Amino acid sequence: MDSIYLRKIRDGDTEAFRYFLREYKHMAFSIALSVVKDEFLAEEVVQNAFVKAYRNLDKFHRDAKFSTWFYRIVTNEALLTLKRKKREIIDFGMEYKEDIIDENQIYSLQYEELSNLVNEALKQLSPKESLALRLFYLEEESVKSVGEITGWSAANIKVILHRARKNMMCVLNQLMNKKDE
Amino acid sequence: MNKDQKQELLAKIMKNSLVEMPFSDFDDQVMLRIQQETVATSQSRRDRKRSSIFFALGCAAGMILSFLLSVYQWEGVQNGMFKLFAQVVFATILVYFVYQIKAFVKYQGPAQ
Repeated sequence: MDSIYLRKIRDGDTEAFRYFLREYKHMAFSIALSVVKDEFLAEEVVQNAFVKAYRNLDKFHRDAKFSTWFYRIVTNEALLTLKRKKREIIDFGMEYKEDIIDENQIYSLQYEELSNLVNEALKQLSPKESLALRLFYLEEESVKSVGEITGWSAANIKVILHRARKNMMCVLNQLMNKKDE
Repeated sequence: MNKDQKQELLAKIMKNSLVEMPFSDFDDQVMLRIQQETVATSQSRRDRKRSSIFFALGCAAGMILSFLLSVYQWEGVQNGMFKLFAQVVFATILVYFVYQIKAFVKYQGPAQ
């Protein structure tokens, strides 16, 4: 489907780019939010990323996956925006303690409640951990694909994912305990 | 809960981590920016072409003028000084325009 619309754009149909907006904006927004932690900034990042992608469509290799190429642009734009806004990615390497979570409690939550809880937890993780988790689980990208999007080595990704999983469970546990109080 | 069960639970939980774009006019905003950029890009391409043509014409005219000044004898004019003056003016204009073009290309660079 992507290649059909890419051909249309190459043939001069600018409106065909709306297909890519529909398909990829939500995940792009989630990726940007993982890094910049602010909805308005994330919207700015995704807008800039789409415009950059349109400008550089002739550089996109048709045999590659459009999503990998585009999410790389989003990630780079998000990191650049953080730098521009002089917000530092301070990764304290926080080690949370309690990672034992009540499975039943999780499943008892309504869809929206669970969604809010998960996204609140991801907001508390560092940009790297939040990004790695979303790319790995939400997009079901392999470690190799995550590396292509982020530029991190496979070994680095495995370390980040390991830490991220642990911290995510701990933060979820803390948020659920807070909710019960 | 063992490690595999935790991973399975996390994988299920993470399916809820997609955040939808909350701004309803997002698509239109992006398309508007793209259209504006397309118009600006084609306009700047036309301007660059025009400026290159005029620069080339100006260089040619200057070279012809320099040549003519060196060849013909002008009455009542100290040929040597006038020739030198004309060539200095021509060289100054040439350097100025080369500088302007470099600055223009540098300005256009990030937009590409």
